[in-house]
Amino acid sequence: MLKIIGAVLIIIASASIGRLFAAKLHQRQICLSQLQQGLLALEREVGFAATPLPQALAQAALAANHGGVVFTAAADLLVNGEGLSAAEAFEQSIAESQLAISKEDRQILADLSAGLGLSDCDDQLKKIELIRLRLQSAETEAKEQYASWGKIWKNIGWSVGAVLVLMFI
Amino acid sequence: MSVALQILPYLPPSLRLLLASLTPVEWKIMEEIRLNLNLPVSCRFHDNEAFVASGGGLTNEFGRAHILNNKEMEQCLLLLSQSSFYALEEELRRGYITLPGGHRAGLCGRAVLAAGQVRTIKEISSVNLRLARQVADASLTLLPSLFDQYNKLCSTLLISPPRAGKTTLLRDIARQLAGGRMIEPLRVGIVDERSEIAAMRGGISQLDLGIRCDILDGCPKAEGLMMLLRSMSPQVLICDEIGSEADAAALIEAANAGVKVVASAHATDCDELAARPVFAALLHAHAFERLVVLSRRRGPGTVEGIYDQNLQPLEAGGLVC
Repeated sequence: MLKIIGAVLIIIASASIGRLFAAKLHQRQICLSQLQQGLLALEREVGFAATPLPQALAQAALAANHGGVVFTAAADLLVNGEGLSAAEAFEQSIAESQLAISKEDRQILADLSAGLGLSDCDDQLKKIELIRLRLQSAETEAKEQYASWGKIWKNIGWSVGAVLVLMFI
Repeated sequence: MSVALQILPYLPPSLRLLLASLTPVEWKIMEEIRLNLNLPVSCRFHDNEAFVASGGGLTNEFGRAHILNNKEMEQCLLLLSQSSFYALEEELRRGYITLPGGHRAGLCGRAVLAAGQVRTIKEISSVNLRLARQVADASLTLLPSLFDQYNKLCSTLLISPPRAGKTTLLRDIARQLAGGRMIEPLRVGIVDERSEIAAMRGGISQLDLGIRCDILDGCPKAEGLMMLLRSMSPQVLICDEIGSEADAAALIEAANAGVKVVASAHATDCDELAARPVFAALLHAHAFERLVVLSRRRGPGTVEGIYDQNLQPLEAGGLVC
């Protein structure tokens, strides 16, 4: 009886680990999509209303849902009055945020920070659009990765659990 | 909110500490804070100027003064612009940024030209923070002179060099006319191109302008005067620092549309004003029935003289608003 309970627990645990890896891939895809929504809102605020960055980032955060933490943190750093540049604030918020994205995705976001807010409207819009397009291709890659690796991770979880049970039996 | 609380957040943290050490009295009489790169930070008062000491407080000794470094200037510009230069393209083109409370940060540096016009300013080396204050009832002594014998408001132009109290008076005239506490209230329309008269923030005026005031914020004067005239049925139109031909044309249009206009302009006296082509046209069209010349001779708001539309003196000067 104890062996059966142990076997079931091992299979559940390994299956969960597999699902966790698959979920991480799925979350990355969602997060990248949310960040793009945020950047679209930022483009709108900068281009249409010439809204200053703290308020524009707050609007972007609203549009980006859970992915908006990076925008909210940057906006907070800008309004706290320490005289940080937008680049410093954005870099700090990327480093401190718990986003489900890869190191490469973080680098794409970090590239947005260089010169953020420091040039005219057209230049800012080009810069934000470029980063949004790079995130879009990262999202496409994340989708493909999930399509191919998502199922694999889930199956590996079950399989490893079953193999371990067989080995112990 | 006090002026210090409004201004300090826009200064670099190191300088903020030094200026926070100034006494409330010093803040009360302060008119300008001047920041020049690699030079002492100074404060201008009614009739004197002092450096900000590196240990806090004020000093007249150059050696004890706090010298503004590159990092502080950079921080100050980031704070003034909220790190959003793209949102201030028009302000940078004109050389100043208006802050909440109606305060103004004048900027000097290297002008970048495009098609012969100033596109922006870069390598900023000087920032002049001009502190705005609402002086309640500042126009009360002047106001009776702005009405004719039938008790009708006359279109009025306030004339003075910078720092003589034009905007303060204009703001209080608007408040008195729209508030109607001393006189029959009038519907006032304000074109606040530089956000100095009303200091609008999020659609709410930061300064008291009476209850019958429509404020068009950040709009070019010529366009704004026509917009207000057509849409808000004002009895009085108010705008600050007119100077272009378009402004003059719009003022003449408004003056001939049954609306009274109260405006201000830079000049030392009526002769200087009349020598400028734009104002010569305005005077010729009798767009203004009263010209009030102001100076700082006995403090900001000193009335040097009040003239009629033919530039004939109506009242002697000496009055202080």
